[in-house]
Amino acid sequence: MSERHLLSRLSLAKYARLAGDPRLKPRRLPGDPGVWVFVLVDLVLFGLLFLSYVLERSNKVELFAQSQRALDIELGLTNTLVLLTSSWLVVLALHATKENAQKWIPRFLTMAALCGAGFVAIKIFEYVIKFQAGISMLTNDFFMFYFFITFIHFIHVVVGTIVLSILAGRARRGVYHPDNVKGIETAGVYWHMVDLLWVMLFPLIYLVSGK
Amino acid sequence: MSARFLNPATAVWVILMSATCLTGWLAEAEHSMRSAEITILLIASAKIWLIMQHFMELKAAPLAWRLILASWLVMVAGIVLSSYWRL
Repeated sequence: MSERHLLSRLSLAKYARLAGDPRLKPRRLPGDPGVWVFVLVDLVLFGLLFLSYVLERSNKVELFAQSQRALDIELGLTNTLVLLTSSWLVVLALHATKENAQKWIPRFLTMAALCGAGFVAIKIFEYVIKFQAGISMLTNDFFMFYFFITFIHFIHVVVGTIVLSILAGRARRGVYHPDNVKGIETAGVYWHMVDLLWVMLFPLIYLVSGK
Repeated sequence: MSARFLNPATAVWVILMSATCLTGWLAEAEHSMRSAEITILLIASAKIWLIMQHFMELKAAPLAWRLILASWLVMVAGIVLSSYWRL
């Protein structure tokens, strides 16, 4: 490509960007850059937890498979659906904010927070059933991992639910509008990370034996 | 009201919910455990990619961030699938 040709292509691209061509919108990270650093650290932490689980399981495949049968797949599956729905509602809240649909912003955020609370309630119910059956972190290596990994994730859901409730309250007071979306974007990035971690955590710990 | 729900993210949500139900069905199917387990983990990885791309808006993010998160996903998928790698 000749230099002249390249130059004309570049100025065309510049013109298209100025004219608002959506294909040439500048690439950007939604929300506060700090939340992305946090997401990265958290993803690495969970990656290491998954790795240690898989390594430990490779030495005790039968024990892990047998213990796994004590888990309630329906509750885990329900929680997956609940968390995916909550994530989607946050995306809808963000779109409502960008379109300044004021009455919908708190509605979507409240529904998302209620889903988070639903997840927490189901998880507590699941833990109580385990404790009543005499199963704890000390039962064996599988349950050590089960309680440890799901509890760290559980704390993330509790924090996210509180944040979404606060955002819903602020949205009711009209804090968010097309020029102030950062708070919802930042919370959204965190919440979607909590969601995607569960999406891998659930099949890994509840469903597959690795046999 | 319904217009508020008409959003590309809604199509992604429907796919994610359906994939989750498919996972539940696969988990109950007793036959060919091994291939069912591998399929379940591949579905989970694909779901994570959809969440990253469309919910976290990674598809409009700078290339470096897309590569970092994609590498994480490839690594995690590799970790969970490594158990099935036998010669």
